Amino acid sequence: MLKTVNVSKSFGGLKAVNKVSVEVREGGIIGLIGPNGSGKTTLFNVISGVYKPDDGEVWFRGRRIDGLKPHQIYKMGLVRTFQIPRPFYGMSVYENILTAGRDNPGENPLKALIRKLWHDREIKLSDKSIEILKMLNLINNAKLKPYELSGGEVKLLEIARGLVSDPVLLMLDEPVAGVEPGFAHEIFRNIVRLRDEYGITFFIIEHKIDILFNYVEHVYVMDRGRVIFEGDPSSAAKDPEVIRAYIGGEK
Amino acid sequence: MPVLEAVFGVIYSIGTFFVIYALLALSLNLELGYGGISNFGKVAFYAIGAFAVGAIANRIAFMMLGKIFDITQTYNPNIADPFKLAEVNSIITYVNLNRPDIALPSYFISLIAGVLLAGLFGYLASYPALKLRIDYLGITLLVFGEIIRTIGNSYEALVAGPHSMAVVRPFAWITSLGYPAYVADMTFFAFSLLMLIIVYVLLERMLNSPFGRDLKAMRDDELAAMSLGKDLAKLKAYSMIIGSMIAGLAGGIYIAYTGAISASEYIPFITFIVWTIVLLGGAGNNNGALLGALIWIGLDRILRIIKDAFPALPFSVDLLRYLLTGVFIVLIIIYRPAGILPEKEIKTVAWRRLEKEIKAEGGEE
Amino acid sequence: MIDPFIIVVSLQYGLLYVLMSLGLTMAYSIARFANFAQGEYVMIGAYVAAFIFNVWHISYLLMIPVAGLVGSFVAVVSYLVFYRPMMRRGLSSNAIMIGSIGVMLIYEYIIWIFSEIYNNLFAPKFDPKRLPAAVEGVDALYLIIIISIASVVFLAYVYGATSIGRASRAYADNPMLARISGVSETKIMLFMWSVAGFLGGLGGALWGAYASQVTPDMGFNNLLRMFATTILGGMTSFYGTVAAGLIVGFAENMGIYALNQAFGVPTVYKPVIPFAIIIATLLIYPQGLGGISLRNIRILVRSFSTKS
Repeated sequence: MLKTVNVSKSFGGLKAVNKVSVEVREGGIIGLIGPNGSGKTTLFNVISGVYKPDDGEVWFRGRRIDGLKPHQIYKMGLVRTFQIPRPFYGMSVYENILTAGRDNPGENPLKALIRKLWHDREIKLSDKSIEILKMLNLINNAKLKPYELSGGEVKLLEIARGLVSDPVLLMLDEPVAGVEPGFAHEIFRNIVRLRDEYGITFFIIEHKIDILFNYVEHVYVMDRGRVIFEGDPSSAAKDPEVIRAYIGGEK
Repeated sequence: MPVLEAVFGVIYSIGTFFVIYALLALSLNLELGYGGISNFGKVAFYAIGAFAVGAIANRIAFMMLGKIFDITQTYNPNIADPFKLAEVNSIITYVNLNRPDIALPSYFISLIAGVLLAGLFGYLASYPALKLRIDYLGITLLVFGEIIRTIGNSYEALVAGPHSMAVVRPFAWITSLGYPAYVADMTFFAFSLLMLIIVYVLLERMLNSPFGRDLKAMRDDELAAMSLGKDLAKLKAYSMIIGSMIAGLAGGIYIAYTGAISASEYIPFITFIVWTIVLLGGAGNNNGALLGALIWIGLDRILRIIKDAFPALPFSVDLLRYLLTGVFIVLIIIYRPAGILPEKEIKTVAWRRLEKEIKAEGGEE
Repeated sequence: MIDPFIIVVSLQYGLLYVLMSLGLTMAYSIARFANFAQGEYVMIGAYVAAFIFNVWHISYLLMIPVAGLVGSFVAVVSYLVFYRPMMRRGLSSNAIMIGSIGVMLIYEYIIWIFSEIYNNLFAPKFDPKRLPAAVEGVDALYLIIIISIASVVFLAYVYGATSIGRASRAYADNPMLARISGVSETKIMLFMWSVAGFLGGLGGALWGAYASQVTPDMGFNNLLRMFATTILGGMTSFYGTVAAGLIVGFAENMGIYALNQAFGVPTVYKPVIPFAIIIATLLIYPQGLGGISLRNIRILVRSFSTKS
């Protein structure tokens, strides 16, 4: 479904992403881990169109997407969330989630004048948003503005926006950082359920390896811009390169 | 009845100016308050609407009379000829008073043309709005406004530059039918008020929708909005086109109100007035735009009263208006940048669904 | 072919733009906003110099540094009364820029009102449109050249070699880091504003000598040309601004002269040249002259060939 081929991206003299090739198969839940600064988020940025790669190709559902703009990639069904949440501070939590919905005829100013044209879509969108709010325990905060939420709740808002957007592939960047472990497990259980029921593919960056490894079937490990390991989680935990990257990298 | 005349006179002058500034404020509120576009060139689009009416209406009127419209020196279209200009002015005055069959179509055709032309330039301006950082965008659009003013002032074949040229007025002929002057004035006021109401209702409808949400998303965080599928180029274009059309409409109304056009009036200070109005009333709220316009008109009136009451002041009271605008801007920025009225929430049918849901939840507990 | 007079005029304008615009560049680089009131420091300096010279007949030569000091004073007061509160409230650069527009209006019209009051109450009237042409026999041109070059050299020394200059540059690069290393933000700001205002005031007084008139709106009239200079220079680059000032001066004067001779473009369109410079720079190469480096040129060329 998603494939990067030898993607590289540099900033100044620093090669943040160095000839990275990853593959995410349809219906999979794939993990991406690595010490801080290993280039994971930069890779996400390249895939989602925020950056153009210096070298290499990105393929999504059989089409080449490197060089496309983020909103074009979104339209193809690839949605990503941000490591540091980027909510719309001027709108309520509920409106934040509604905004993430796709294909709403009311987004066109002329069509917006005629409510009938987008009434049904808006109802469907609101039902789905409410369902997601309930699933993430945010329903009581729905009317609040993002700056009135706790750090963990803002993270959940970030995930909620990703979920409501009807993604084919959802790329989550550290979805459970700052979330207490019991609830983190519940979120991941929901991720598995969404994959089983709706066929959504997931590509997830996460630092809490102990939680992540229970739910992913395949994991990539990055260190200093390169992929140093790929395979199943238990092998990753035993691989000497991976261990060295983490022990060596984190002081 | 002189009292009635006086009352109508006040309604006409204050009311029409309120409409003009309210339209400008609504237009900036759309671009800035919803779309986050820092339009420091608002006066440019106002001027384009005004210039269009001034340039086109007169020419259409002349065409319909079978005359040739010519106000400049024979071999130099950059400089107006005062005799030709005086002749044009008297012909236009004649048309205004006696020829509704010419005045009405000339004015309204040129008004529509002006609105569309302003919209076209708004579309062009959305390109820098996409590419530039917010403070650089402000300077670019300010400069754009100055270019429009320079061209209008220097190429006098267009609207006679800084010299005052009479323009077609749509309702002046009513007075020639024997009615007192205030009838024609109030007819024009009713027309402009109607325009304001239509624009207000359409804007509220258009913005209380997913489109409004998308604009606010773009305003709050462009990267997140892009990543959630919002096409920023299209959104900025929509804002600028619609906003500029409204500003052009305001310009066309202003011209008909004064009955004359002079290109030297369209200075950046007008943009600063509109910004003060929108910031004071509360950006992101169309009612705030109206409130700000009301306050501004009120202030203007007070200054006029002071001017009449104290004719012996050693300085021109008009200068106070500029000074006070500066003071207002500084006070607003330091003490209340959000303005008087808070930003209006977007409440579509989805909101009612949520309320129902929360009530249901509350009931179950 | 080319009238040497035009070259002299261009040089004078160019150097004046450098003097007036360096303050704008400094404000953008250190205080991080586009200061619309910079033109008013120029105007007030010019006005005070012209006023004292005209009314009390003190030597204009002496008035030039006085104008600088006045400009400096106004800039520092603006910081303390207006800009520091704005910065303390954490307002965005755009919001403070809007605030500076308010400050600009306040200064311009206070001076305007003052000059009307003075002319109505006292005689002889202060007619700022009729200042004596030469300044004590010294041609304005030589004054402009000497003072502007001296100022540029002085500024280069101050910001290059002195400790406060180095601290200011560190602060401009990374304010948070500088603050943590113990640099006093207030000292840097006060220093920067006083220099920015001083240069502006100098430029104003010299402008008055050259143009033989000062008007309350000369601040705003020059502001857009100052923006053209700073923007072309690269918003934060000292040497870029110096080069850009001369380029704008020459482009404006020789440009309109050439267009007039070759295509009959009327000279009233002269202001459009700096406008065009602003728009062209921001849309094509926003880093300006200060951003010229081999790497940036490579990136620019690449962006033309690969459509993204």
